[in-house]
Amino acid sequence: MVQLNLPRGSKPTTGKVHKAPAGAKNIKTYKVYRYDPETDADPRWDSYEVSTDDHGPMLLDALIHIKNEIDPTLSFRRSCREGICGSCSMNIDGRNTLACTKGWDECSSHNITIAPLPHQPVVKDLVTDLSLFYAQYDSIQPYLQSDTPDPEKERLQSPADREKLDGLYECILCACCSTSCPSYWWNQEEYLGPAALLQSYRWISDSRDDATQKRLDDLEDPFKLYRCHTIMNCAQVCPKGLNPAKAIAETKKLMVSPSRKKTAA
Amino acid sequence: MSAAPKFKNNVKISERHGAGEWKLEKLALLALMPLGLWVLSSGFTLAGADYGAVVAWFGSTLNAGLLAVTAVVFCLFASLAWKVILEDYVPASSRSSLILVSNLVFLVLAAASVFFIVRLALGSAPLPAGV
Repeated sequence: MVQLNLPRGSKPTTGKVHKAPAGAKNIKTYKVYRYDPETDADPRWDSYEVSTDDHGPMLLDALIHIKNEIDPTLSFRRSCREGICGSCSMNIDGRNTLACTKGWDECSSHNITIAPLPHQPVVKDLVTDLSLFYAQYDSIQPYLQSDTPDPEKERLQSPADREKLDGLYECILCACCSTSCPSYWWNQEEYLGPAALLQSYRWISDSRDDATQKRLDDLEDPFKLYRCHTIMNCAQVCPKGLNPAKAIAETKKLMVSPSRKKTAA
Repeated sequence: MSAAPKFKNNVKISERHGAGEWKLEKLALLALMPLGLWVLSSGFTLAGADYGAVVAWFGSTLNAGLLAVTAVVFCLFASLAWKVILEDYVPASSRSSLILVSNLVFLVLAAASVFFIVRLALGSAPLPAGV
């Protein structure tokens, strides 16, 4: 639900400024959101002046440099460093993306703002609580459901049917799309969000899956599916170049297709 | 009033409806495209015409019928659109009652539109005598 008055812990103040050493060249200022709900009354923006000569080309390199060399209290998630695990998703310069695939030289401003994913509870600094996001993913039953017995080897699929999964299976569940969606901001308690709906459509499209109608039944709801208003932020920010809005539109079309058969409740 | 939503593991359980309303919204929008263009073009044609010419235009069954259909479809579409806006931004506790009020407003608007169009089509003054 939309909130007009921001709750406690939502208005960042100006925090510490960590100056670059004298004589440092090629300075960038990273303005990083800092908040520990257990100890801080309000969040703050800490600024770190860092020479880009001291770290690698990506924003994640800058964050690791800040944590290792300047401020070990900074918290953020990271793992693979190559855009596969989705751990380091955050809001960089006002746009959700992965810190490991975003170069600091891609940011137009001299001051680069780094904040946690929007509209998620903050655990600490850039780490958000994605429990609901994962519960929503779990709810779409992201696994093959077949009426036929398991074959001796793999379940076969034609190349044409396999191609239908392109643009769907590559999702890394980084939550960039869902947390960039205003509909998800206002109604995430009831709306599944672009990531879960993209993954649901991934299984609906799978020729080997026999639970299509049941999956559609589970989605048919004014809030779970129909809160998508085709705002398209999800497609704009997806670091893997996927288009969840299109998958949601295809799901809506299937909902009213002549082949649709509701299953028993 | 709709029942309170049910949840399992913090995720809403499907109400198993919504597709029909979505389809109705799209169909109303599709219908409004040609109807809206027709209303606009008619408006331009009638701009500057005297009262008699306008009443004569309403006297055509085709014009009056199409205008009444446009008004009804527009009110239907507007009520569906307002419902979406209210669902998006209004807390669940007061949502249902506001949607009911919104639907009533558009129902009254649609009925009034048809009433006045029919009166003009029959050659009567827009309002009954004494009003």
